[in-house]
Formats: sequence, C-alpha cells, structure tokens
Amino acid sequence: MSSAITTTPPAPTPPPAPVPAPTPRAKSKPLWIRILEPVASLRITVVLFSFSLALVFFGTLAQVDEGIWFVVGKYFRSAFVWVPFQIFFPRPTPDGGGMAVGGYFPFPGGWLLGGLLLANLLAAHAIRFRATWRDALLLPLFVFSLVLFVLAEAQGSTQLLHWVGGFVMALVIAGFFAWHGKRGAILTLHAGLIVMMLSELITGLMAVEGNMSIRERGFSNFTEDVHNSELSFVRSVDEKTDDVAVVPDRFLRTGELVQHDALPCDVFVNHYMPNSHEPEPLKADFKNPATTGRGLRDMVQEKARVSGVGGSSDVDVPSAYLTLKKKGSGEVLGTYLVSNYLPPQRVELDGKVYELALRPKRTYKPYVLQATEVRTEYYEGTSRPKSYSSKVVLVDPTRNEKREVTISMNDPLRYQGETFFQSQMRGMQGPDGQLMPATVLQVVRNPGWLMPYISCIMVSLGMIIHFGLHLIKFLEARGRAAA
Amino acid sequence: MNKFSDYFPWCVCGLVVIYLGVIIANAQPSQRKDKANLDAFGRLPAMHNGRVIPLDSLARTDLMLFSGRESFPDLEGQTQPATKWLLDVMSVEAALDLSPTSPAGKHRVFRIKDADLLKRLGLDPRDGFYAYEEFAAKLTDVEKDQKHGDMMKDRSLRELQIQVNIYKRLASGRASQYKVFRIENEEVLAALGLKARSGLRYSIEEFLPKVGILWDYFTRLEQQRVTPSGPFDARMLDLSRNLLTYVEITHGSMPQVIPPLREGDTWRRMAEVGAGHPYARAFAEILVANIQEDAAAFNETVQILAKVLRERLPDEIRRADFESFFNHFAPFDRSEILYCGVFLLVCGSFFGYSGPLLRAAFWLCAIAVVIHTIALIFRIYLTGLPPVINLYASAVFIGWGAVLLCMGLEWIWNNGISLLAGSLIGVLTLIIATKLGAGNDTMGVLEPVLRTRFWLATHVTCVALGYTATFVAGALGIAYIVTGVFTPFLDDKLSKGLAKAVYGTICFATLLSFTGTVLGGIWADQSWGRFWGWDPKENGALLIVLWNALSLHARWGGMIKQRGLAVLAVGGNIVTAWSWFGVNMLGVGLHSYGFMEGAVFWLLFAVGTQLVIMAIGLLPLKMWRSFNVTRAPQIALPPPEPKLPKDFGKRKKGRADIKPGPAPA
Repeated sequence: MSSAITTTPPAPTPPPAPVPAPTPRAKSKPLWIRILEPVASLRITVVLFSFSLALVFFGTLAQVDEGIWFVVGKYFRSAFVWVPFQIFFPRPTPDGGGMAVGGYFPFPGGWLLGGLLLANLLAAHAIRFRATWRDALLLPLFVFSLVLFVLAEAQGSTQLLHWVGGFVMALVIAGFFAWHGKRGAILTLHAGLIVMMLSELITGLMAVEGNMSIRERGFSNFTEDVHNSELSFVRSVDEKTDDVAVVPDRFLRTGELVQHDALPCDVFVNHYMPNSHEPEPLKADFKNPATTGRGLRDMVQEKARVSGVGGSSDVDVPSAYLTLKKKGSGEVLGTYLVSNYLPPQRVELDGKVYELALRPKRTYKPYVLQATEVRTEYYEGTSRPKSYSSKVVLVDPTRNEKREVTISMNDPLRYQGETFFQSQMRGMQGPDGQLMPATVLQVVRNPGWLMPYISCIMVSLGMIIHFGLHLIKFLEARGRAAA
Repeated sequence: MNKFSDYFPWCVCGLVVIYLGVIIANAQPSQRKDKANLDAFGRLPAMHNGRVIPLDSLARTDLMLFSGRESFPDLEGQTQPATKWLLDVMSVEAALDLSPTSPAGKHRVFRIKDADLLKRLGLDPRDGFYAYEEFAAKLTDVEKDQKHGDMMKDRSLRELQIQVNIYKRLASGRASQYKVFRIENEEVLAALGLKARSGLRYSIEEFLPKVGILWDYFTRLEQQRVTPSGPFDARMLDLSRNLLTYVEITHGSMPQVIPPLREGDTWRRMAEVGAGHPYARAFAEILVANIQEDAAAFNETVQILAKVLRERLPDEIRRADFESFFNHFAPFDRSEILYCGVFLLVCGSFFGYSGPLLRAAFWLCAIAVVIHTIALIFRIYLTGLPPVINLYASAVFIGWGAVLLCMGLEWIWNNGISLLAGSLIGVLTLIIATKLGAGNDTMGVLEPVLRTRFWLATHVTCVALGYTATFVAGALGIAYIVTGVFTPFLDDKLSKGLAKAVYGTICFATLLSFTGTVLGGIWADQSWGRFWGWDPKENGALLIVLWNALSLHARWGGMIKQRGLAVLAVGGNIVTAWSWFGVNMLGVGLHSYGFMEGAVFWLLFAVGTQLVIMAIGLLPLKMWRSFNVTRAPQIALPPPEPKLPKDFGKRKKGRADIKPGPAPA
C-alpha cells in the first residue's frame, strides 16, 4: 500500500539508513527468534483482525435465523465454521419475497482466531518488546494472580483471595513499568487483553447458567436450564424423598429406543419436537399418535426453532410423543404426549405411581431459597414495568447459613461462587391452583466472572497512559513549533 | 486586513444572539387575553406513559406522528400550533353529534353480520355496510329491550354499539375537518376513496364514508395481532392505530389529565372520574368554552386550574413548564440551523476572506455548541437521567460530542477542515435525531434493567463518545480524500496535519469504544451474570473496537500510511453506522414495512456513499489533483528518522512512520 507523500519521491534514498547495522546481529539470531519473527508480524495481527471482524459480522447476521446459543457455539466457540451464503441475502418469506441461496464456505471460528491472536501477541512480546530474564519472573506472577481469581470463585467468593490476586496483579503491572518504562503501558494493555481472552475461554468452558423460579411464599432447591430439557420419572418414596430418573434431551431423538437400568420402563421416541406450539384442543384432521394421557385431549405441533434477534427472552419449548414399553418384553404401555408446556402426568408402572414429564433440565442444590415477597412496580397509569425485586430467604443447612436478602435488577446476590440475578417475573400455580406472582432468578456459576473487570482496568489504564504520552509529546512538539 | 473583516465575526455572533433572544422571548408564557390562550393550556400537566408532561408535548408528538408536522392549517387555512389541535380533539366529547339526517348518518359504514340483530333492527341481510340512518331509530328500542334481557347474549349488539361510538367520535367536532392524517400509500388512498394531492394530508371527514373497512384493523389492534402481511396492511394498521389514539383522546381515556387530589392518589383519566370531580369539572368547562369560542371563560378557567395545580404539585408544574419552554425554544433545531451557518461560512472561507470567515465560523460554532449543551442539560434535568437514554438521545449526544471534538481539533490546526467536518456531523446527527424523535416521546420512561444512572452514565456515554470519535475520524478521512483528489490544496503540511488528527482521533475512539464496550459487559454481568453474550448489539460494539484496533496496527506495522489511514477511517463510518442502526434493523427486517423500511434505505445509502469515497481514496495518486500539482516541490525529502533506536533490528520498521521526527517548520 502506498502513502500520499512518502511514495512519490523519485526515491534515490533507499529505505531508512541503518540496514548495515543490524546485519551482523541478524546472522547471530537464535533459531527461536527466526521462527517467532514471522509469527509475531503485525501483518498477521492485521489479517487476524480482519478475519475476526468478518467472523463477528457473520455471527451477527446468522442470528437472524438461528438462536443466539446455537450461533455462539457454532461461530465463536469453535475452531471452524461453515458459513451459509444465505446469511447475506434476504431470507425467503412465505409470500415469495427474499431469495433462497444455498451453499456454505469454511471460515476460522472464534477459538481458532482467538488462539492465533494470542500466539501472535505473545510472539510479538517475546521479540519486539525486549523481553528479558526479569520478565520471566513476572509471567508466573501474572498466571498466579489469575489462578487466584478463578480459585476464589471456584471456592465460593473469598474476599481475601480477591485482594491477594489484585495485589499480585498490581505487582506485575508495577514490574512492567519499572523494567520497561513507557512500554509498560502497552504491556499492561496487552496483558489485559490476554486476561479478556482467557476469561472468554473460561466462561465458554466452565460457566453454568440456570433459572430458579419461585412463587411468592414458595421455595425452590433446584435450578432449571431452559436450553436443555429432560424426560423425568419421579416417584415419591416418602414425605421427604423422591426417586428421580431422567433422560437428557440429547437422547430423545425421533425413532430412538431409550433403555437404562435406572428407568422404570423403556421409552420409544415417536416424535421429538425441539420447539413446539402451545398445546391446543385436538383437531379432527390431526393424526394423533397419543393413545393415553393428556395427548387424548390436546395436541402439539412442531414449530421452527427460535432465532437470536427476536429478543433473548424467546427460548425453544420442546414436546414429544413417547411410547412407554415394558422392560424386557417390549409390551406397549401407551403413547404419551409430553411437553415443557404441560404439567407432569401420572403413570402407573409395575404397580408404582410415577409422574412423567418433559421439563427443563434440573440441577438440585444443597440450599433452599424461599421467596417472601415478589414485587413488580409499574410506571403510574401504565402496564409498563418500572422495577422488579424479590425478597428471599436463603437457607443452607450444610453451612448453617440463613439470611434474608433483596435481589433486584442490577443488584444480584452472590453466594458460594454462584450469583443470583433478578431475571423476570411470571405467574405460577400456587398450592390451591390459583395463579400467583413468581420470581425468576438467573443463577450463574462462572469462575471467570471477575476477569473482565481486571481486564477492563488494565486495558483502559494501558491505553490512557500510552495514548496520553503520545498526546503530551505531540502537544509539546506543537508548543515548541509555535514558540 | 480592513476594519470590516475585523468586525465581521462580531457582527455574525451579534446577529445570532439577537435571533436567539427573539426565539427565547417568544418561548415565554404568553399573556394574551383577547384570544384563547393556547399556550397556557399547553402548559397544563398530564400523566402520559408513566411521566408527567405538558399537554403541549403530547400534542406535538401525536400530531407529528399523524401528520409529520408540529403544526397544522385550521379551517381558515391559518397555521395553528399542535396544542390547538389537541384541544379541539379533546373537545369532541363535548360536541358529540350524530343524527340520522346529517351527512355522516348517511354513510354506509356499519358492519352487522348477525341475522337476529339485523331482524330486530329491521334490516335486510346484504353484503357490505349499513348506514346509521337505516337503523338509528330502531337501535334505541333494541337497546332498551336489551336492558331487561341477557346482556351477555348479544355480542353483536355490543359490537355495533362500539362501532357507533367510535364513528360518532370520528364524525363530530371541528377536529374531524382538520387535514392532519398523512396517507402516503396509494393503495390505502384508493381504498379510502381519496385522491393523491400535495402534502398527502387528509381530514377524517374526507374518508369518513369509507371508515367501514377499518373495523377489522381496529379489532386486530385490540387483540394485538399486529404483524402486517404487506405494505398495504402495515399502512392500514398505522392509520387505524392513529385513529384509535384519536378516539381515545376524544373519549378522555388518554392522557391522564386529572391530577391526584391528595397525597397517595394517582393521576386519572377524564373517562374514569365522574363529572363531579373538581378538576374534571374545570377541565370540562375549558373544553366547552373552547367549543363556544368563549375566549374569556377559557382563559379564566385555564388560569384558575393552572394556579391551583401550581400550589398542589409545584415540582411537576415546574417541570411541565420547563418542558413546554423547551418545546417552544426547540434548542436542537436552533443549533442545527447554526451548524448550517457554520458549514456555509467555512465553505465560503475556502474561496477568500478565509481569516474573518473562519473566525466567524468558529465563534458561531461555539454559540451553537453552547445552545446544544444547554439543550442536553435541559434533557438531563427533565428526565433525571444521564444524557443518552434512547436512540434519539444518542443522536443528539453524538452530534454534540463530535462538534466539541472538532472544535478542539480546529483549535490546534486552525485550517477550517475540522470545523467543516464538525458542523456537518452536527447537522446530520440532528437531522437523524429529528427523524428518530418524530412521533415518539424522546424522554419516555425506561425498562427496569435500564433504570440505572451509573451504567447509563458510564457505559452508554462512553460507547456514544466512541461512536463520536470514530465518526469524527471518518469525517476527517473524507476531508483528506476529497481535498486530495478534487482540489490542489492537500499539500504536505495539510496532509500531515490531517493524518495526525485522524490518527489521534482513532486512538481516542479505540480507548473510548473499548472501555465502553467492556463496561457494557460488566453491566451485563451485574444484571444477568453474563459478561459477553455475543448478541447483535454487543457484536456491533466489538466491531468498532476491532476496526479501530486494525487501523492502528496497520499504521504501526507500516502497511498503510497517511492515505491508507484516511481510507480506513472512512470505513469506520460504515462499521459505526452498522453498530448504531444496522443491528436494530436486523431483527425486524423480515416483518417491518414501516419506518424501518425508509431507515434501511438510508443506512444502505450512507454505506454506499462511504464505499464510493473509500474507492475514490484508493485511486492511483496520479489521479489526485493535489499530488499532480504539488509533487515536485513538496517532496523536498522527508526528514530521515533522526534518532534511531539502538536496537533497531528488534523493532518494527513501521514505527518510524508515526513519529517522523520534529515537524518541518
């Protein structure tokens, strides 16, 4: 690429002078430098940036058709992705608009690009930024600090570990500035970026999210993962204990026979619908697979899976038609309609009563949350919500913990490495079948949650110092020129 | 330099101050006695969509929504303020009038399907609609019978009553004759029996005979089945929505004009309270006085009501007063005009008298920015929130930041180009803001998750400033390319200065957009535990960061120099425009036939222009007028890097390009 001014001279001057000086050194360059040099090239940085730009753009366009979670997995948390050409064209519509375009092209995925950028950055620092033996001291400190932060979360938030982690990181930054002068700013900035990339990696690998719905004056000891479902057989053993057997939804594929020792029967999947319409009364022309249970009254039809741009509140609601078969003999016990929309159904198997349901995947917790008050405030004279808040009592017998807290929007509760966020409000059936207000808490365990905060501080600090020095130098030069 | 050119900037600024003084004086509460004091009426407060506004604000937004203007011609053809329209619409209730013998009674607009009801009304079943005169007499009887019968039994009678009720409101009063409904779609015009004419604004009276085709749409709106099946359908829904709003206003169910009587009460609707309610009685008197055109009674009642309210609700009234003043003063429009002036002055300066013209432009710009700043402060006061709370606010804020930044750059380089860029961005963003704000309450209330001053003040402001800096860099990039290709003025000094300005601005943009984006992630982590969700808006912000980082690294790596940086900076405009608007259009692309259709066009248009400019910027230097002319003398020799680092071999060659030693004097 040429520049406006510097390319135009008749150019008797060869590229700036000091070519001869470094030549002897170049010969004596150790092998690792010669290998790393091309890896560290800024050209590669720029190319990787362009690819990242394109990937993020594709990943955004793809969300017109597909759910955000699907896109994140496919585009950003992957090594390669096959990008459909369709994303660049208006989608075909029922009334004949748009264009149907087929075909795919391969593209590097988020983890590959992130990894390459990381390699490029590290190589650049090894070569261009005059790493010395002293930096070898900082590296373990840097890693140690991050480990402390992650550990602090994995162990349940520990203030002390946070402080120690922060102190170690401050030492590292001080080291950057002490040993590299002004370049410390860039080092801090780039180290912050590394923290950011690692945090995305840790989140991708280790973060767990779930929802906990509690009706007013009710309680809950489990979270639900709305993105995954499970088929459950629940048998009440005594007042305090249930016997639960579940089949994760990834085994529920149309035409599959599911068998397991823990299940009270075999399950044949007649039709699994990853997303479905709400149940409606049976219509005459519907070929009903169900032979017993709720399916005799209602029917459920398949629906296209939700896309990412329609608002993140939309999720797939699966349903299925299942045939229960006696273990061993294969005797058909009936075909049931199960759905995330429907409450559990009573099924009698071998004389025992089970509750059969398709439900969001549950994770049981050692503690119980009790909602004492669930509040939605509205703007005066409208049905527009102004704020949500829930007063809850957390009881954890394993730790002798009992506390009352108010969780509201932007003000979560953090407990034992998990964070409880006010997500939304809904209606839930109370004990007498009446509709009661219920709070939905988003429960997140992410050992890397603190890392972006640290990254933000480091990168911003680095940039402010780096660009600030530039600016000061520039203004001084101008001052001199003016004087 | 002669005397006049010394005084010229002062003259310009003086004239502008006088202009602003006149506007402000006009925006003061009017004290007129001879005619109905609409201004005083417009200052009365009401609760609407969760906040207290002056009626004037409601009038302006709704009239804007219906007709695309904030004023309208009355029956004599005289231009009237929106408040007058709102007042007359509110007064319809007191002038309801539908008789079988009137012209309105003869229009066949009522849909009656139920055979039993038809029989009772003495009508023959037929396709199409019935006129009021055909069943008016019988309807009263049927209603009387109904009172003793089973209320639930006859849904079709209830439907008919609703139709009559709506129709009565559409047909009555002066307001039905005001030409304020803008109908652009030809199919809709044809369906309503209208002919296209200049302005495309029609009165209800004109399409009253065809109102029958709207019942389906009203029903759909009521049941919230509002996904349009095509452009015609979308426009019909829009019109029906507006007409329903109109009916609601006539009915007194919008806005809530009855203030709380005592502590703990809420604002209520006219339709909710009985006629005995003291405020309702006063309000009804005002409306009757308006119908009877009794200016004295009107003014007196408005004055008394205003006084009582001032004592009851001093805070609300002060805000409503302030907002009303803000509406009249329209400070954003004023700054928009002034920025146009700045733009023209700078353009003029390129042809001569550059010193005085530039100075005048600079100080005019300063005045405009002051007005712009005051307007932002007004908004902060009125909303009680940081400046950027919605798309509209982001536009006015970005414009403000861009102008300020450009004035700073102008202060340093003093070549007019930054000022040109700044005034242009100022005008464009304010135009965009006007489009975004049209028909919406630009200070409307926020969703629960957004109701946090801290994050609005940090994340949102930071991101908006990041957009600002990227746009400024882009505008300077355009200036570089246009000056270089089409004029001979891009000499070495200007080229270097511009490139430095672009470079510095991109650095600034990178800092702000990165920090802003990460703060957004932290906000997300605070409110739902997910730092980064890869949703379209987040991705948009990330794209800006990546683009700016790419530009900087390409520059540091020596892959691009001044011109390349200018071209990439123009690309930044595209990325930012995508992040600002494109992302919002993504989701609705399939189903929207409304406002966004036009917006998509303008976005694509903007992207197209930027691409063309980038292409021009990539033309070989031979075709650049500047370099054809100035080549030989300019390239004396770029001063060689004076102090080469000792360890040159270890560093990137490109770094030498950024700091080419001390600038040539």
